[in-house]
Amino acid sequence: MPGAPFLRRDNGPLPAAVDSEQPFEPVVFTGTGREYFGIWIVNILLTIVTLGIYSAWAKVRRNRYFYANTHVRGHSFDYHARGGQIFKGRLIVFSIVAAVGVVRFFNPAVGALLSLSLVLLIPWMISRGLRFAAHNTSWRNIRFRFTGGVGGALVACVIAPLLTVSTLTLLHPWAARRFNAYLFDNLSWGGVRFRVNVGTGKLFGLWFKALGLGILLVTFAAVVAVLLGMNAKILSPNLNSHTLSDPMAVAVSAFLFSFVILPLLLAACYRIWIMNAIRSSVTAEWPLPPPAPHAPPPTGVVFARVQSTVKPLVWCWIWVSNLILTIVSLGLLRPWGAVRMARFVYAHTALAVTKDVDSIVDSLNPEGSVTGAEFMDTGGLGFDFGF
Amino acid sequence: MTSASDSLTPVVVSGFWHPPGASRSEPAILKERNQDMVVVADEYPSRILSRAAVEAVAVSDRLAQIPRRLRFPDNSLFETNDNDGIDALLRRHGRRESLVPRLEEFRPRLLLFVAATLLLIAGIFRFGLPVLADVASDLTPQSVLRVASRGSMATLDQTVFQSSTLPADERRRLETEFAALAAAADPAYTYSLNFRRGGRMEANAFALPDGTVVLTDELVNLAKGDDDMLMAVLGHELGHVARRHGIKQLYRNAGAVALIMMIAGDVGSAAEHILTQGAAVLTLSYSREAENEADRYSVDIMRRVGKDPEALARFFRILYRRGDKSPQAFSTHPGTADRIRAVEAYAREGR
Repeated sequence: MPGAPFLRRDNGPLPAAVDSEQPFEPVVFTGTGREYFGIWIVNILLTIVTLGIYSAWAKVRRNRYFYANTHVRGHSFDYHARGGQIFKGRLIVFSIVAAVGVVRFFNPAVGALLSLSLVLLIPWMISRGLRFAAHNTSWRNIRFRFTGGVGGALVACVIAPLLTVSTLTLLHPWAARRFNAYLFDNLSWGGVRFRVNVGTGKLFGLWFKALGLGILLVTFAAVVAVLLGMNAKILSPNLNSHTLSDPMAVAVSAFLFSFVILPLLLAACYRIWIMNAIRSSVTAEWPLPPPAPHAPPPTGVVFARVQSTVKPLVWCWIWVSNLILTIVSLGLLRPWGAVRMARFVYAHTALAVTKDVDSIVDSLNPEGSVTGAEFMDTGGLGFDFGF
Repeated sequence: MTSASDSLTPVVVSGFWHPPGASRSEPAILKERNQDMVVVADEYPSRILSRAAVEAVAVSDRLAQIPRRLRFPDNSLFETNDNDGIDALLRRHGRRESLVPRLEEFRPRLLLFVAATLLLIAGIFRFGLPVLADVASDLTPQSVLRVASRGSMATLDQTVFQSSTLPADERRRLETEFAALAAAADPAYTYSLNFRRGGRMEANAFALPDGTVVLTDELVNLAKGDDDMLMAVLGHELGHVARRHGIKQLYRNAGAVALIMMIAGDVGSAAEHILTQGAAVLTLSYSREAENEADRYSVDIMRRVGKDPEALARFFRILYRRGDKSPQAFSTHPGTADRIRAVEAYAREGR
C-alpha cells in the first residue's frame, strides 16, 4: 500500500482533521512494578557506589523505561538524552551551587547577593531546559520541539508563581493557564503545533467552586469537631494535660481533619480539576497559512485532541497510599507505587488523533541546553512530557 | 535461546521501519546478510528499505522489555520488540552485551542488591559521613576558618548585635580571666573575647571556628557576679573551637544533602523530603554529641586553670529553673537535667 504523500510545511496536501465522531483512545502504559524494581534498585545501588556519578545514566534509564512504555495509538515515546550529556549538565549546576555555597560561607552578605543573581538566570535555564527535554523526546521517529523564549519563562515560571503566593492563590487559575500555555503553545511535533484553548474564566470558576466547597466542608467539620470537643470535656472533666482519653482523642482527630487534612484534600482536588480542564482543552493543529500577508492565521487543521478525566479523590488515595507503603517498606515498594500512579493517570488521559498521523516529516531541530534541563531537575522543577 | 546451531541460522527479526525523519511506519523484517544488517519490507521481501554494516548501526541499549531501536546511517529507524533476537545478532558480530540490563532482571539476587543498598546507606550515614567530615575539617586550613569567621561576625554585627553596655572595668576583669582560660586551650587558634548586646539572641555565648568568642551582656547579667560560671560557659565554647564542631557539622550536612539528592530522582519528591527530615534528625544527634564533648572540655579546662570544674553545672541549673526542660529527641542540645548529671559525674571522675 503506498503511504500517504509526505507533507511539507507550506505546500502539498493537508492532513485530514480529526473526525468529530472519533472516539478518544486512552494512553496505554505497559510498565510493571516488577520490571521497574530491578531498574530502580540497580540505579540506586550503582549511584551510591559511584558516589553519585551514575545518577545521570540512572536518570536516562528511568526516563527511557517510562517513555517507551507509554503508548499513543500503538506507538511509544522515546527518550534520547545520553548519560554523558546529563552528567556534564549536573556537574555545571553542582559547581555553581557549590561555588555560591562557598562564597556564602566566607561572606554571607556577598553570598546572598550572588544567590539572588542566580535567580535571574532561572528563566533562561528553564527555557533552555525545556528545549533540551523536548528535543530529546520523540514519537513515531519525530522529535518534539520547544521554542519558548526567556521572557515567556520569566512570566510563566517566576512571576506567575510569585503572584500566586502573594495573592494567597487568588491568581492561581491565571498562573496555571499561563504556565501551561508557555509549555504547550511553544511545543510542536513535526510542524504540528500544540495549543491550550481553555478560557481563564472557566478556571477561575473552578477556583471559586473549590473555595465555596472548602468553606462549606471546613465549617461543617469544624462544628462537628467543636461538638466532639465539648462532649469530651463533659465526659472527662478532671483531665490533666498528660493523659488522653478516648473522647479527647476523637475530638483532636476531628480538629486535625477539619483544619489540616480536609483543606489539603480540597487543594489537591482543585489542582486536579485545573489540570483536567487545561489538558482537555489542548489541541494539536497543523497550521494553515494566513489568507492575506498580514492577516492573522486561521485555526489550523485539528490534528489531535486531548481528554483528561483524572478522578481527584482516587488520585489523592493513590498518592497517600503510595507514600505510606513507601515509608513502611523502607522505600522498596516505591517502584510499584510509581508504576501504579503512572498507569492511573495515563488511563484517564485520552487522545483522538487523525488517521493521517503517518504523514509527518521532521524539519531541522536544534538541540537546546542540557545544563538548563539539569538545573530544573535539581531545583525540584522536574518537567517531563508524559502526556 | 542460544545453541550451537544458532551460529549457522541467520537471525531474522520482525518489527517496523520509519523512513528518515518521517512518522510513516511500515511492517518490516531485519535480516543479516554477510556483515550487514538489511531491512526489507514485510509484504515485499525483495524491496530493501535500509542496509548497512552491523558496526554502523546505532542500537539502543537493552532495557527490560521496551522496544529496541536501531538507527541506520541514513537516519531511518527500525523498531522491534524482539530484544533476544537483536542480542543474538549482536553477539554473533562480536558486540558485547551490556552488564546493567542483566543486573536489572527480576531475580532473587535483587534481594542481595536491596540488602547491599540498605547497608551502604546506613554505613555512610553512621560512619562514612562522620569520617569524611572529620578528614575534611582537619584539612581545612586556619586561613579559611579566619575568613569565614570574620564574614559571619560582620553579618551578625550588622543584623543582630549591638555594642555592649557593660562597664569597662567589668569587661577588663572578664578579659583577664578569659586570657588565663585561652592560654590553657589549644594553641592553634587565636582566641578573642568580644562583648555584645545580644538583642534577639538574649543571654548567650558562642564561638566562631577561628577562636572568636562572643559573650552577650544578658548572659553576664544572668550570672550575677558568678565569674567562674561564665568562664565555664566560655570554656565550653572553646571546646567547640578546639574540636572544630562547627566545620564538621557543615561538612556532614553537605554530605547528607548530596547523598539524598543523588537518589532523589528514583525515590520521588515526597520521599526525598522525608529523607531530608530524617537526615535533619540525625544531625541533631551529632550536635548533641558535640555538646556533650564541649561540656567535658569545659570541666577539663576549668580544672587546668585551677577553677571549679563543676561550675558549668551551675549554669545548667539556672537554665533548668528558668523552665528549659525541653526533651532531648528533637533538640540540638541534650536534656538539661542529663547535662547537669553528666558534668558532675565527669568532674568527680577526675578528682
